[in-house]
Amino acid sequence: MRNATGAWADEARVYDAVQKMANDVIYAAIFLLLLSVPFAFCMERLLIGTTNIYKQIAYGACIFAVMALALWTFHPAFKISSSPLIIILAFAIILMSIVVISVVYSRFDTELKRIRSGRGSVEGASFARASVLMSAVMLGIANMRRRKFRTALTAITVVLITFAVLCFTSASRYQSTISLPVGIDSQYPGLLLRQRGFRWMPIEIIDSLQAAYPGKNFVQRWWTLDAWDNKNQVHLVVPGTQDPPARVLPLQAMLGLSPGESQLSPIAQVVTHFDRLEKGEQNIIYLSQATVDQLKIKVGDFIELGGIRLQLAGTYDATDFDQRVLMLSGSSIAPLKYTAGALDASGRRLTDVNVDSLDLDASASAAEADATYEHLTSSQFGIIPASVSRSLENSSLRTIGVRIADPELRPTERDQAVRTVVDDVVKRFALATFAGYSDGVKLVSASNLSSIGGGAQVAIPLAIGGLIIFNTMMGSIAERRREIHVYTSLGLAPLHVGALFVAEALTYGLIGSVFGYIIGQGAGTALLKMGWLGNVTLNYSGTSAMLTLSLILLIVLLSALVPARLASKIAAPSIERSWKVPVPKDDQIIASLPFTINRTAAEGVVAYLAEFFEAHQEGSIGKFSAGKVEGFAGIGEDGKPTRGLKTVVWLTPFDLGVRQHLLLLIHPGEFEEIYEVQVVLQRLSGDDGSWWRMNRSFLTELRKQFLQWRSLSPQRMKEYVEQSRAMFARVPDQVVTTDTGEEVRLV
Amino acid sequence: MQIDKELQQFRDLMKPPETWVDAFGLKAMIGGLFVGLIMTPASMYMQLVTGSDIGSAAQWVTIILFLEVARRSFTQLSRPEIYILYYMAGATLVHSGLGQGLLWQQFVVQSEEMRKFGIADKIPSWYAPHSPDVLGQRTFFHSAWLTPIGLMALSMLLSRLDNFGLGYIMYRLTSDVEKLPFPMAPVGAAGVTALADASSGQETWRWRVFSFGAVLGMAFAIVYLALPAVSSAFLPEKISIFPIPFKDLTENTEKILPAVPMMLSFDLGLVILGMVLPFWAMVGSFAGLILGIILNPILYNTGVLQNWSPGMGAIRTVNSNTLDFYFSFGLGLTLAIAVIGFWQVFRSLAEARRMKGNQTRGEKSAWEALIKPPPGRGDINLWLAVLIYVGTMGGTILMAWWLLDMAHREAVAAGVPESASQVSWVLLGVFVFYGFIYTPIISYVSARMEGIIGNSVNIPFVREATFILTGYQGAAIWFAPFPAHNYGNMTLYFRKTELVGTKIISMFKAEMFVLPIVFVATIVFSQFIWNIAPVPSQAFPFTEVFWEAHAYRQGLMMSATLPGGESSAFQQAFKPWFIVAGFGIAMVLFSTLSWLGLPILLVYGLIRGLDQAAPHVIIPQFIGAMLGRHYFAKKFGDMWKQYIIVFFAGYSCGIGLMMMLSLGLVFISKSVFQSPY
Repeated sequence: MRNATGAWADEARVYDAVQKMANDVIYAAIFLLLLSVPFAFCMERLLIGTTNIYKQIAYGACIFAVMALALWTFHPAFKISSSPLIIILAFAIILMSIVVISVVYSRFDTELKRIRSGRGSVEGASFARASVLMSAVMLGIANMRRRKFRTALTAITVVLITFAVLCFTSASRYQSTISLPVGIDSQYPGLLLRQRGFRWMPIEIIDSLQAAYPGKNFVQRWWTLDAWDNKNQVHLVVPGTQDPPARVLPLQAMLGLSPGESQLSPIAQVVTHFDRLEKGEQNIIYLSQATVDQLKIKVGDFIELGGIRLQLAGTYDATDFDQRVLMLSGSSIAPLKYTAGALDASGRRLTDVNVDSLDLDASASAAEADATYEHLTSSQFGIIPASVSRSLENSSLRTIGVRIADPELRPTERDQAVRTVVDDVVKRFALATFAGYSDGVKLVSASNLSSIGGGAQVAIPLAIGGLIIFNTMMGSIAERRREIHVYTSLGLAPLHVGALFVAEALTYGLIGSVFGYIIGQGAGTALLKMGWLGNVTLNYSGTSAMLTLSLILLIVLLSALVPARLASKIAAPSIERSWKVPVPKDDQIIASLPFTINRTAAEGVVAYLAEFFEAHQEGSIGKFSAGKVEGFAGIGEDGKPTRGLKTVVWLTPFDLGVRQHLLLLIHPGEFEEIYEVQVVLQRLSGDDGSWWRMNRSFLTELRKQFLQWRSLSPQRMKEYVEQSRAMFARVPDQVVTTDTGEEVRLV
Repeated sequence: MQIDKELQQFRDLMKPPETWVDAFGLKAMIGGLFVGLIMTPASMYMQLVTGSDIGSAAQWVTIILFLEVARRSFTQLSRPEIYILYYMAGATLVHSGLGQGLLWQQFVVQSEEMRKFGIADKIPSWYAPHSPDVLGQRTFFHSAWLTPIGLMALSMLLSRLDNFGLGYIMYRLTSDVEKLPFPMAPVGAAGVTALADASSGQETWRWRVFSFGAVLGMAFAIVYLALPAVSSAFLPEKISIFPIPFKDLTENTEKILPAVPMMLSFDLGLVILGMVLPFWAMVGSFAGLILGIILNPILYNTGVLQNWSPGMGAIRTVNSNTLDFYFSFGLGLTLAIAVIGFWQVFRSLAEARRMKGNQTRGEKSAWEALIKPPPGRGDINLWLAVLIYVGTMGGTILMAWWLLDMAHREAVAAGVPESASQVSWVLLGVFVFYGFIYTPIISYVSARMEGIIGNSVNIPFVREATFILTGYQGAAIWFAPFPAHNYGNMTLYFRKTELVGTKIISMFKAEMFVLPIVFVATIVFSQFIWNIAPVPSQAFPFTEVFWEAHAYRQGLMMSATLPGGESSAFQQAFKPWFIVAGFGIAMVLFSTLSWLGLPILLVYGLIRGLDQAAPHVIIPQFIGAMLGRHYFAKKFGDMWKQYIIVFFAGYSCGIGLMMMLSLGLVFISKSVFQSPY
């Protein structure tokens, strides 16, 4: 019986673990299929690079099919799944849905941006990060195609690293026990077992425990109460006749105890004549003195409970009972006080008795260790023998206590005895188990733990692989200096130039790792079948796959960071690689924007910007709100023709009250035909720091408008030129008056 | 025909183009193959596992994918091409759900419930083989399955040809002659038009409105559909915020409103649909619903609705009321619509003959409109359509006759008395009646309703009632093809085809191309699925839960034609006086309201609402109609009606996309390792 229940308990744990592992294997296959999509795309671009979209799709689909076939051949996911082809079909459906949803959503996003910009049509280039990344990947792949031999060697390096990591690392799971100190002294060397949240336990557990540990006395504690409806109470009836009539007293619950309780708690010292229960008497009851007084009975009188006639055997002081009669875990022996919506330590409702509520893993154990539950006071229940409690309605076994070792033994021997039993118990039963050691009470639970091995064996190959990629990227940068300068002159930010090289490295990583994984697993399976693999075990789990591939990509990424930084330095040799908002002086920021415009366009851009500001007059969209916009054109102080516009701007968040006067000037610079842009911001309200900080995003928005202006069609630019001619007024004075009547002196 | 103002407004919402194009080509064929090979097995599997299918999502995904590919290859897809792709994708999808398909056939013959009713051994071999040896092999590639598969192929061919028979004639009558508005036709056409605009690179309002509708549909579907589906697959407990398909409030209201089915739906799509459909039709439906809510308690208290009792719930209340009253009353209403429709057509034809001499140059008479369709539309010759109808219907009747005779001979050979399951001339007469009298009438009525208020008409339990009332004894009749069809829905497809500028002949080519694909896909994928595991079984959870229950309901009905079977329910349902009452009330309402000059859509809506309309559909539609008319129309002006059509098309697309994604995720969860305990 002992071995049978032990085997059954082990099987219950293993069953769950096996299912999780099988699911993990299948998720690994799905993860690999997911990676195979960008892999197929990159390989098509690398190996074939056709210009025809239909051929591109066809070749990409073929490569994907080959990868899927390879997975199908060796990966166990397709053998243990109930319907393997459906995995691929489901994957295809998810992929197609995501593609179409993203197409539709991107369209929606464009329309939304158009509305937010206030313009009637979408103009200008979009600067979505995804499209920049895509362009970077395409450029990287194009470069890889040019250097075929080097690409092949680098890719092989990554493949071999992946293979090595796969074969020489392993992640295994094992079961172990975890002990958490509860922080109280133990009353006896033994155990207390209960469910999470004091939920009911099946009666069969007693038989299992007794079979497993014969000779031990398992003390049962039963509760008779309705957890779902605390208005449904237990009624004590003092029989009567017409005079005096019967008296009825409702109690919240009854506590049923089996003999042996006095060895586990000082109950015998608190409850009078408790020895009667210890001797095995059945039809007796113990009540608090307060209850006895309410019922107007005395010890020896008979009362009825659920139709059973019980003799009042003893009484106890409620306060004394509540303070002294505690369980091994330190909580009261009394039943819980159930209220509507009450939760256990893990946040589940106490009345929830689903299987998931009863399972106890390490994290749930930790929660139970610290949990405090509210118990009834001892005047709210009575004590009866467990056998009587079992026969009542709404009764259930709630806790079990057992003394393991004799008090005569030495503390170390007692602890050893307790440890032996508790380690066995927690592996058999998923219960909150409190163990009484000499150094205090501990909550013990069994958990599935993971261990990852073989890391030391692959550290050096990983380092070598990372350095090889680093070397490759450095060589790539040296060859592509001129290319980098071309990118910069086209307007690509230094950060984006660096991103090109990171993208190229990640492409190496993706191709190498996916290929390496599939080749590694495929070769490993072949070697295993031929018996050449020795003691090496292959790992098909999803967690392992994700960890391996993530590690490879991380190594590749780290190797590419320094080269990327060097590339961005080449792109912009000056120390300042990103534009900063100038430091204010006398509440004024004068910023020269890094744009130049020709004379014809200079007129049009003013109207373009005026439209931009007018769209923000309502204040409900964008990062600022603008007041009335006035354009002007004329001759500046230096005799040069000047155009511009002025307005008052409120910056978001509006709560900070930041308001400023904006003067935007477009005038010839060093060359007459080339106009430069200057922005003068005069702070009108709000604190300095917030004003300066918030202007960064405002000026970034303004700069974006200039970038978008460049991508307009000539026809559109011409329209703006005509518009602006209608709006030019006079040259601004040195002192300008704002809408609110304030005077602002311009420097 | 006297033109109602709102009808004309709907008719003019989207006018057909001047020219039509034959859009069936290589792209459409590739699209059909794509759906047939990729989407079909997924859809079939999904129906068995979850009970839902990909449906319209497959159509939208197909055309949007093709559009993206075309865009990247710097080509365009024209509106007719997109429509044909859309049509092909819908036509290629195979349905293997509850009550249909080879997998259902193999199940029925082994069903425990059918066995209990004593029907299983009476199912004819041309429906499914009985032999446990054959069924145990779980393969359709067996000689015993030749006849059922052959019949399936013949039925597929006849049904696809069928659509171009009476369905086409109804379209010509209702669209070309009566010029009905078909309010739901612009919805599908508008979506296609929006996508065509996007393909050609034109920045029109259509794609903008479509994308807004799509995103709203996706957002709503995440909460309404995806969350319950995905959570039930991956979590121990399903998370459902809105009850699907409705919240049953019947038991809450039965004290005040006895025998009134009261349901509340939270489907936003119904509200938007209410904005699309004709306003007065929605008002009429709502008024009809209110009248029904008042009428049912009166009928209950006077003992008419005698089978209803408190605590029945909505579905059972509807079923009980149908049997007690609405089956016959609904028949009367339907007859009235048919009579009104015929009267209107004949009146317009008579008017046309009278005015023949007075008609202005270029204006066609109704007869001319019928005989001479617009040139270049790719129409089928009307007489050819009649021939197709007569041929396919005749073929169906003959096939049914022959199959029943074969079943009778099989039964006699098995020891059943000669008189039982005998195929009498009465039965043949009934088939001919349904094929050549009932079908045209119901198709015409349905086509009219589709053309006027966007809803087709169906009379429930006609087939069942007929079988029982003919006195046929046996089970074979339930499995034989029954020549009572309703081609009303087909008129919508033809109208959509016309609106998007596609030649009707393209539809015919598409159907014929799709036929072998569907045939092969049905057999191959049914075989593949059956190979995985028995159906039903744990591998297909939906079948395990629902198929036997459905077999029970079917068996209950089928047992009515077995010796000693209960047929009293249907005999109770057929009450001539209620038919007369329905007919009379509808005619009086129509006459009175027309005389008062009220919109015709109101009249039809009212009649629809009277026929035990579902509150959970009518109420949100009415709310939508009110919002559309009194708020959005004022905000957006004249363009509102066009906007909402495109918006609704986008919304449907969004719902379908999100549902497809969530069903794909559910697939994954069902494909993983399934432990037996």
